[in-house]
Amino acid sequence: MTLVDGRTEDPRGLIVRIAQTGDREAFAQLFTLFAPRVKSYLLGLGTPPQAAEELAQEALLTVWRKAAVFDPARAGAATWIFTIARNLRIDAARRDRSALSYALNVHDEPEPIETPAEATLSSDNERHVAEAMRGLSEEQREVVRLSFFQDKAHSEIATELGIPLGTVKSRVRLALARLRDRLEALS
Amino acid sequence: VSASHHPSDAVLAAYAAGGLKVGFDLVVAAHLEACPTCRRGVRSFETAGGGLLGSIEPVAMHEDSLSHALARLEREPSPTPPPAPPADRRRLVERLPLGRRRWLAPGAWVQPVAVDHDPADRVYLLRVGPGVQTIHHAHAGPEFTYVISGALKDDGVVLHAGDFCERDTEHVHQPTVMPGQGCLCLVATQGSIIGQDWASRLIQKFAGV
Repeated sequence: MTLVDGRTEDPRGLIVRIAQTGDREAFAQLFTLFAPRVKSYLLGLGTPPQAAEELAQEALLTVWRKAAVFDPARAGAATWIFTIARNLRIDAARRDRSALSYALNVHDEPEPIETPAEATLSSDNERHVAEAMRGLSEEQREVVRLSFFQDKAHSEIATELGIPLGTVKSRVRLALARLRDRLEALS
Repeated sequence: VSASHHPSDAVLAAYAAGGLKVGFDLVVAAHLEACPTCRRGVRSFETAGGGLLGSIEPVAMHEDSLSHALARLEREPSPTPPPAPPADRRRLVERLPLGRRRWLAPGAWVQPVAVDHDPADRVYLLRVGPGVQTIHHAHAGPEFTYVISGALKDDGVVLHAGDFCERDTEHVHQPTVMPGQGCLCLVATQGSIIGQDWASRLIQKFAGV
């Protein structure tokens, strides 16, 4: 399934409603849609089940708290939630906080100037991910999913798929390069 | 000055997904601050991660998790952005928490980066004087290097400030600092590096790398 399709409300709209009116119904929809997926992502990276449950809940609560800083012109809802969950997981795993490593000081990036037409692009980008994935072979899709959602070294992937390590490395390289090229060509 | 040696897409994707080990992510982040191309790559892979959440198999939350979350919202009635932490405008490599510097030789030292990394790994700043060869070594696991200043020659490739280099387990090498100025690097190594001769091992023993 895709999270952004014609049938359900664009999740960005849900976040905007939370920001503007503290809409609990919008929050409940967002929670139902995303919490089980965030939990699945966290479990795949080796987070223990109880912690994954709590972090998924915390991720959605963070969405509520930070809804006002969400910029629908800059990021799709799924991407924003994905990075929130990622950062929470990193924070939880490291006491000292090398959250440092995701708080970059970057001053040289010009603010994007977006027209309303361009502002729809980000959620389109998430849709493009599905398109770009369809453009890969099943074997390539498999290694992309493992790269994102499983905490596995290439050698473990090789063992699991029963193929040589060199093949895994070249498959990962090709698949990620195609995905990145496709996404950057579209954005 | 733009970097000419970059992390692979596999490394950028793992960074975007939060899958890199502590310390290794710092080396990548240091490069990202210097490299708009790789920042764009990370943003693409974050978008990919967000898009892939749509195809991931959902895992059911506890049945009372939503009501629990809604109850917690009652205690924070309106969404307010948390106050932004005071911005520390220094570069990442200047903000690293550091341990005690250990001198190796004139102009050369190592200084551990005090982050909560795997005890089996090493994360450190390494300063080597101009024209000096580092020890000939192999690795028990991958090694990430970011060149903060100066230049380093490794297997015929010259790495300049801003460059990133990933070496693999099987790789045996002996990086040499280019003449002119010393070289300062941020390094993360999985496991201790394995020196190839007794003199290297001796230096290692005292330097703790």
